[in-house]
Amino acid sequence: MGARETTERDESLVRLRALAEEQAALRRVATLVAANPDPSQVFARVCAEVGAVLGVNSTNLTRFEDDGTQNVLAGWSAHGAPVFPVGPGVPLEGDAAVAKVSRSGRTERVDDYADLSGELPERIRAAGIASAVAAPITVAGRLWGAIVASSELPNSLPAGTEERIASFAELVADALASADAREQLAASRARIVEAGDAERRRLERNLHDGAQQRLVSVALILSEVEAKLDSEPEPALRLLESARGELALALDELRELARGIHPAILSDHGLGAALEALVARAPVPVEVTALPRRRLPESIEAAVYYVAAEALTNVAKHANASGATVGVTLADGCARVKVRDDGAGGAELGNGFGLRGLADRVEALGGRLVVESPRGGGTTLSGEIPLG
Amino acid sequence: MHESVARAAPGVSGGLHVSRGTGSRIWPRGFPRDNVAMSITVLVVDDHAGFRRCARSVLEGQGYEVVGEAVDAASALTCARKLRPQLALVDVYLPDGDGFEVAARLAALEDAPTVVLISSHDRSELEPLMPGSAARGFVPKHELSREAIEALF
Repeated sequence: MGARETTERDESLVRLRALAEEQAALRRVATLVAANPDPSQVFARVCAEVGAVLGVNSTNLTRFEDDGTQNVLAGWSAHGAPVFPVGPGVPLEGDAAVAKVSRSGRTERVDDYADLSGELPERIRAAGIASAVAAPITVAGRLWGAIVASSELPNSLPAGTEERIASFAELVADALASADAREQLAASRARIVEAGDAERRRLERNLHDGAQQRLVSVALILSEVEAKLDSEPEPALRLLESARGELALALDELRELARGIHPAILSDHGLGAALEALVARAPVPVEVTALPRRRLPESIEAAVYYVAAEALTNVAKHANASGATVGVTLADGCARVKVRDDGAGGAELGNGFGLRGLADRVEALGGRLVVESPRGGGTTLSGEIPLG
Repeated sequence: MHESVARAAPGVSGGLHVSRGTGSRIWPRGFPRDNVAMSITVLVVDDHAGFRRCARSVLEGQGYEVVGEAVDAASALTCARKLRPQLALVDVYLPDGDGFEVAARLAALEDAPTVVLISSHDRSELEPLMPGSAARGFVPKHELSREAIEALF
């Protein structure tokens, strides 16, 4: 075996080992990501793994901010090597690798920082960096930030460095997306619990201030009647009349409250009848444009009903509208509800507990709720729920 | 025996009096007992107008003199200072405070009224909270009557 063959075999062994190490590093990061850690843990780990795998002097992970700057969130350096400092408010202009990524959304490189002008290249040079490759981190289609691998020597980062960093950037994106999803889920859970508690408080208050007070009054009136029955029959009779009046009011209030908890007509007679009843009670004229001919699963009927009920409540309360339409259609395996009014507009999902709570209800069924409400242009609330 | 004890301390003079028929119960200062013509003055503190109306009617029908009505904790104190009622019926849940707190503040007034807490909640919910409070006792709103109030003394 010649010396040349030996060298070639050694080289391919080295390449193979490097590839295996890279795969192992990716696997370690993937395992970490799967354990749903705080993203900052992933950032630090990725910087270290990328640095070790590529054999570079330093690495950074940075987030692009809306104000056109970057926030350097994590950094790693080989022992003693210089590194770009971590922190916010770092400029992104000029032809530094990371600045180019922020504009192109693709991997970029700078093989020699010596001739680049501008504040960022200057700060990079000051950190002892002579060349760098940067790869974008894209979360849910949006350019989020970048991973940068840097060397203290110019022209020292081989071709292919881009792709190798990009594999790690994808894992970071996964970690960020899943952290974001967890955050949204936790927020929606908290809102659902809060909405439940608020509803219980409202019910207790309504019962206490309404029917309960009326029944207390009836009990007191009856005890007076009892006392007067023999000696003062005329006033006793008048008291009985007022007791009957109080009872009628208590009944009305209980009926109204029960309907607010869950409209019996919805479970007994379905969405069509419930919506017709809802529309009949609405304070502005409401036209029903379409209704499903068949019963839908209970949870979907309830969600559609509450979308319509909340929308019509808002129409009455805020919209200053002269009329509205409600339509429920079934198509493409979805139930769609649309409530439109000709009022003032300006409604948003975020600006009312009612609408946010409704969106949570619809999203819990795998659907979505959209509000279109230009100022002065009326409001359209559209819900779409898969029939599953 | 109880009868004779009661007769031995008639009228409305100061100090505590043992009430008729219940030797262990005590009349608050200033409460007339045997003299029905001199009715007990009452302040009703409750934020529900319907209840205040009924309570006034029931109490007046049973010989009390309702001298005032207050809708919340703040006006309860103002009314008590001004009207000096002998008895204050105070709802446990007031829009601006808690009946127990109002009872304590009323009790600290000069010429303090005796406080009886009232509520549409039932006895089992509120009676455990009575010991240590400045209130004489608790009467559920729907049971409000002279008999129920006197049973506390």
